[in-house]
Amino acid sequence: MSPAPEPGDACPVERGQRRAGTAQLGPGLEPLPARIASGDKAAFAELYDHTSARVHGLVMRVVRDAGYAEEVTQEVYLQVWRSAANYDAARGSVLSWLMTLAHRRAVDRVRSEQAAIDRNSRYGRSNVVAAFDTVAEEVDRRADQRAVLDCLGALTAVQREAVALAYYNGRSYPEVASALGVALPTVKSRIRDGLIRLRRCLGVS
Amino acid sequence: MNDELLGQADAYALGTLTDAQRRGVATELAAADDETRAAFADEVRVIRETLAAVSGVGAIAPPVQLREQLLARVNTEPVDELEERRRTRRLRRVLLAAAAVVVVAVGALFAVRAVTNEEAPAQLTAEQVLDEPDVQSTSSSLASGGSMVVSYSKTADALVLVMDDVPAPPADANYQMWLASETGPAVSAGTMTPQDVSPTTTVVVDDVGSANQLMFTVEPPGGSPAPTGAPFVTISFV
Repeated sequence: MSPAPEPGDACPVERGQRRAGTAQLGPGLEPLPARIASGDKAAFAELYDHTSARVHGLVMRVVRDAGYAEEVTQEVYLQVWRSAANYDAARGSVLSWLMTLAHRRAVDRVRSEQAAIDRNSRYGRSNVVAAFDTVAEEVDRRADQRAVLDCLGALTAVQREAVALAYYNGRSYPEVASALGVALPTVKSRIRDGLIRLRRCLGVS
Repeated sequence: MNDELLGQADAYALGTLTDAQRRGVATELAAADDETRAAFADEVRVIRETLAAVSGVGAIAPPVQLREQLLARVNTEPVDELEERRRTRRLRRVLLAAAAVVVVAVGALFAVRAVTNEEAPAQLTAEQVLDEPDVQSTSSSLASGGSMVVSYSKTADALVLVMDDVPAPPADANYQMWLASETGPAVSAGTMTPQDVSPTTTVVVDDVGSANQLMFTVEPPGGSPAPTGAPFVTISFV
């Protein structure tokens, strides 16, 4: 299932450990949306219990405010409750669907608050890089997350930085280029290469 | 295979495109071949799975009370929803008057939604939008005659527009719909030829995003990249 290593593919993770990032959640979430769509509150609670830290963590990194993060997280799960029938397994896993919803709502929230905030000064480069590099500060580093951490470490610092600015800050590629003081094609290739390296390392197919 | 379009898949999947750019990509995808569409959707899927796998590292437990608040909301909602449905059923019957409803697929924007947008179902229908508990309706009469009702749901991220007795555009022109907000330029939501406008016309516009106004202008056939004149109707639906 894991792709063969390419020349220059400096992925330190052993084959057996790949896909460990989501192994603990595995197929457990897949039946939940259909049950939630039929009004099953226990299924909703189960989804929340398994995913709320991931959702809230992502939202926190994007909105950078505990109050907003709590509100947006609540909105995400209310949207799940109301639109679970829209989940389509052919388009991706339940976790991917959920994190995409969460990211979209978080970025929308930041953009709507944008008028009152100078993004460049508050969401400084050092904060954002720390988001992707924060791994050193994580207290709870279980074995299953070890593989993800190692794969993040397989990216170069500039790849991590570019991906983090685009994803956690919701910045456009031209904005990332401007923030980093590099050319747009450089940003595009750093992000593309970083994502390719990450998915190969994690064994996503 | 449209490689240039495919090259936009990572920006799309990272969520860095603006509403206008996302619509632009959706329009291009609608015109692209099946191979490109499938490759694009697959690319987006894989990137999002990758990002989902990374999310575990950044996990931060939310405040404990959030769980209770959510479960309380979810416990009361079905009941509220039932009452709400009874109240809005009459409104819905008026809006979807069985006789002459024509659902107009304005432009190719709607067809492609199913391929790339995980949040929305394929071919979101007027019924589905109006079914949402948070739907709000705003109506407006036109100086040129006729009226419009916009029913918007933030949860569905979509609106239903019903045009009643609105005159068709002149033979050599189109109507163009625009979504607008304070934070950005007007984004095209599609065009209507004179044949597209009937005495009762229903249109679903999804991927509304942060827009809070729907505007109509008269444009040359095929539409324009930006409004070329003042709108003849503007409806604030939020």
